[in-house]
Amino acid sequence: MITAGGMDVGAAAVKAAIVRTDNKGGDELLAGQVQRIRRRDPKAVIRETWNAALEEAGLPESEIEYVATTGDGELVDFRRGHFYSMTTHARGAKFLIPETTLVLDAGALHARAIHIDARAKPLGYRMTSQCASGSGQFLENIARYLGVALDEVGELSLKSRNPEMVSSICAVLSETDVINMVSRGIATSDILKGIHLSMAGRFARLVRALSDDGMLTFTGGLSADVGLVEATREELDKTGVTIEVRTHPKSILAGAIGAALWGAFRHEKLLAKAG
Amino acid sequence: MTRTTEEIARFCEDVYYDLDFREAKRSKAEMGGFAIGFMPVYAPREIVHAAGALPVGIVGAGDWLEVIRGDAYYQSYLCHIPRSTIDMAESGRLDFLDGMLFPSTCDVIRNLSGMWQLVKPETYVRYVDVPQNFDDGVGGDFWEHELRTLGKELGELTGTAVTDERLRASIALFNENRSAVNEMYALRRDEPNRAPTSEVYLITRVGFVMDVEEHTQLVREYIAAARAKSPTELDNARVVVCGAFCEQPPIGLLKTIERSGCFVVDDDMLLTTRWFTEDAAETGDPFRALAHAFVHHTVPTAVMYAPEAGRGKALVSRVREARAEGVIFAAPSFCIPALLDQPMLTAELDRQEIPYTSFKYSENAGQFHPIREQTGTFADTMKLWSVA
Amino acid sequence: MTSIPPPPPPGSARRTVETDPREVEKDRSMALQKELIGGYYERLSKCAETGEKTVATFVPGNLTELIHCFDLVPILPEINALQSGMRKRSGAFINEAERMGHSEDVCTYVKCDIGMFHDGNIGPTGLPLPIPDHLLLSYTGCFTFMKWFELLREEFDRPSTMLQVPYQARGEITPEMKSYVVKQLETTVIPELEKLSGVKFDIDRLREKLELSRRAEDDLVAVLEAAKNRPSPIDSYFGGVYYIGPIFTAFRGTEEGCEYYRILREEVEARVTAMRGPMTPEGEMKEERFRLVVEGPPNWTNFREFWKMFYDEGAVVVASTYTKVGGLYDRGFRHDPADPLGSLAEYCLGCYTNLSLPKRVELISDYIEEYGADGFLINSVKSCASFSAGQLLILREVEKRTGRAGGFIESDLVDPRYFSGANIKNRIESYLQMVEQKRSAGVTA
Repeated sequence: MITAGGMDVGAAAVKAAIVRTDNKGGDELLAGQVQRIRRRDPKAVIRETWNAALEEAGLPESEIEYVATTGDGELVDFRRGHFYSMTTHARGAKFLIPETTLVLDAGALHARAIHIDARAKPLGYRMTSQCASGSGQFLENIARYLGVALDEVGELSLKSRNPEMVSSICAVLSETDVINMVSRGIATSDILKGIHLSMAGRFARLVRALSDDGMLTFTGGLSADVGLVEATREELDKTGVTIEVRTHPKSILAGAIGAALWGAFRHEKLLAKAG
Repeated sequence: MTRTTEEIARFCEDVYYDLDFREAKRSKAEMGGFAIGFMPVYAPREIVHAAGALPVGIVGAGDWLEVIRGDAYYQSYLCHIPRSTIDMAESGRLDFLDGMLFPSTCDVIRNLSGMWQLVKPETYVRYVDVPQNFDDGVGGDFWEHELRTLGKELGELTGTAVTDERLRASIALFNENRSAVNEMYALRRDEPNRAPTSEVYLITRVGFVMDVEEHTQLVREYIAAARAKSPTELDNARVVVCGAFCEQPPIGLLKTIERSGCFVVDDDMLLTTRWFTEDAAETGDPFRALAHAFVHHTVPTAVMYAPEAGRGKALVSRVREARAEGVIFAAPSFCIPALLDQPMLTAELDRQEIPYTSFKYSENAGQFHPIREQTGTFADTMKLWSVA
Repeated sequence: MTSIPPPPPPGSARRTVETDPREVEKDRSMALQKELIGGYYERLSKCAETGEKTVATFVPGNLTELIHCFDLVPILPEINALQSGMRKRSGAFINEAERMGHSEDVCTYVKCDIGMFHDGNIGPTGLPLPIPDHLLLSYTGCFTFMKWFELLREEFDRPSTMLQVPYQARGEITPEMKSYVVKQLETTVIPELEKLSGVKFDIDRLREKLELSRRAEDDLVAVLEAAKNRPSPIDSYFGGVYYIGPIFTAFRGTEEGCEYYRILREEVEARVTAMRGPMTPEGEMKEERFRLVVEGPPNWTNFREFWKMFYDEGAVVVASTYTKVGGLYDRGFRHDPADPLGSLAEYCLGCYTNLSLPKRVELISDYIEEYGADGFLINSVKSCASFSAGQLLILREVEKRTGRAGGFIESDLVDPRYFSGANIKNRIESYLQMVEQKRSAGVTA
């Protein structure tokens, strides 16, 4: 058994995971921690998150055989290896929901759909362009404008009866749209649902470009937004594809979990190479 | 006072970003007041040095000069290095140069030699027409004559004749420099966590604007500092970077490759520093020695003719020697030599089942996200999915 | 100074070409040229049967007489590519090569050639081409040549011989440059061709061929310089590419080649006497409204369409640099039977693309004066950095020196994706308007 750690350094939050695995499918998550960076020194947040994970796992640092990073990994000076976020999210999603064939990594700055095989190897992917309107940052701006806490957004959106569609796909123009909706007295839940549907429409296009069936697992910062997940389900259903949409309470940790599992894999490989 | 590798690299980075060429101007003054610029890929710096002038490598202006005048000289489908170079000339940044050497790297650099004659008529300009025939009595003789002519002309320019004795001394200094740089490269190959490419590159690069002896000393200082440090062990993929011999990748791009989980364990950047695979002789006729070294011990590169088929074989041996797991083809957009060469190289890598990825850059590229994505997935492929 | 005809009144008919029924019967030289080229491709297609061996080589710095001394047949990949371009087949070949991993940024001649090879190696006339037995890399004036033959060598495993021709960086041929080329001919090229052919080199045979070259070169120069007349009897760019065809390819130093240029010269001289304008695909150009010098190769995929943009406006090209890529005969060079290898070396060294940029500026400026041109136009082709890198400076320098208007258009050799007809037409029209304005300003001044 190998004990390994994973650190996912994103634009908005740091995620840490500790796993124990035999690299043969017997994977166990020992700890998972998330901390938002806000305006703090990322290196300090990294250390804190990592320490919290060690504490949760009840392990001293010396017992971690391999620490792998993903995201802005160079900030983690105790790392041994690094993997690209696509590789780690794929592996993490597969760990959380083994039936996963499609991954939707929706984070602060962009979203990416990944088509994976049984070994969690990415077969293809599609990404949102540079534009911000498919990202968590955009949603956060809207929520702030509406005076809604980020973790309330999902539930509110689910309550919507008459979603108010935004007219533009551009983030900047959508924000203007929202300002007008508020002054027109549109219900907050309907505004949020409209925003969710607009984002979900983009996600659905990414996913459909890869496959029209399978199991889609949400990962990344937006995976906890049940409203967005539901909206994506609706948008995909509309197109007639047979893609089941799931998220997992630990989906936000997918990158960190994936990094830890791949780290364990590398560790074994290196041990074998060293003889 | 010992400096750490980071401190040395930081000093080099300042020099690297200095478009006023303060370091070169200082060295020029110390050497006696003459400086001769040269462009990639190869220039006989020994002769410049023996004429009492500082050879200054002009390799574009990277991503920190907003090219304004340069674009007026070039169509959109030509590479970036001549734009920033002529821009620097037009804005007076290169006025400290008493001459310019334009090697026969490609037609763009070749034609730039003529443009320089028109734009800077007061400056000494010479086209460095290296031999593509590798017989001593044919290409060797031609090249020897070219070298003598260059020596004579530079001697007239500086007032310091390139005597055999002076040239032999210069050859020895550049041999020593090459050996130091090769040692640094070997250290990077063997322990890349001690000497990352983003540092090794900068250390090599400042040699383009510095007196050769001083640079040799700097390289040795860096090697000692790198050996002394206790670096963290990184489980990165080992790659060779290929195609970046003329227009240089911005330093951010090199860092991006490293951040995505790669060790660059061999590359073809700043090739003139490591051009000879064996030293030029320090005894006998020094012009002959330089010609002989060129004809027989030139590093294989896209700009040199290969008399036999199998261009990719040299790259494969570089990959093997560096114990690399894959190759990153990083060529400047519109770089004719690199891009025409590439299919021959990839064909051989395919035969040898060596993985590779390729992208294009320009020296002023500021966005590395797509490259990070590409090198990141490439590194993961090697680490996770390769059979080895 | 020759007088400049006054501009036509506004609203006058733009169309200046009239189809003359007499012209339906084409010039004899035209038919002969077609026959020569057709016969040549047929000969190539039969090499497998006849056992004739072939040598691939390039137009600039070609050693046709020398190749013929060994009873070898030259293959010219550039000509194959441009012919494929004219016959609208290059696009598919280029796509094929790009699919195979060749960069979109590199020369389309190369990609067209490699694509053609992979598509069954059927030449432009529809007949199969042989795989060359040898690659004679006349490395003159173009970096890409070197990589081109290295690439071909990887494709079909044939030996290659490098003939490096030093660059005239300072606009002169030094004795060392010449002797370097001669030495390569003696120590590498000739022994390799002897080995390939089994034929012993006979310098007197070479002298005979060079004598024929010299004669044809005299005639070609007379043809090109006939454009100094008003009206010009020829178009020295669009028509010019036909005139240079035989001498730039397999027919220099041959009896047929000599005969072609004799006939062509007669025809052109007759046109001069008759004060007739140049022939175009739509008949004779009747009114010469603009006399232009053109720098850069033409576009081949839309050659006719491109040409029409000129003759529809009454614009005739009186001198061009492209017709000098296979030798600057009009500046005095001749192949010389008295100095066979030396003159071959000088020939290679003197091709247009081997000239320095200042020399090119000088040449274009001289052409403008000598041929009484109203202006000059640069066709900048994406494929060819040897031509293109620096052309914007050439534009400014020539304008400065001659005071004549310069125009700039962009296209490619054989990549149909880089020919934007509407754009180019627009540019040419507004350029010609500018020339007209400049001219009338000059008249009133």
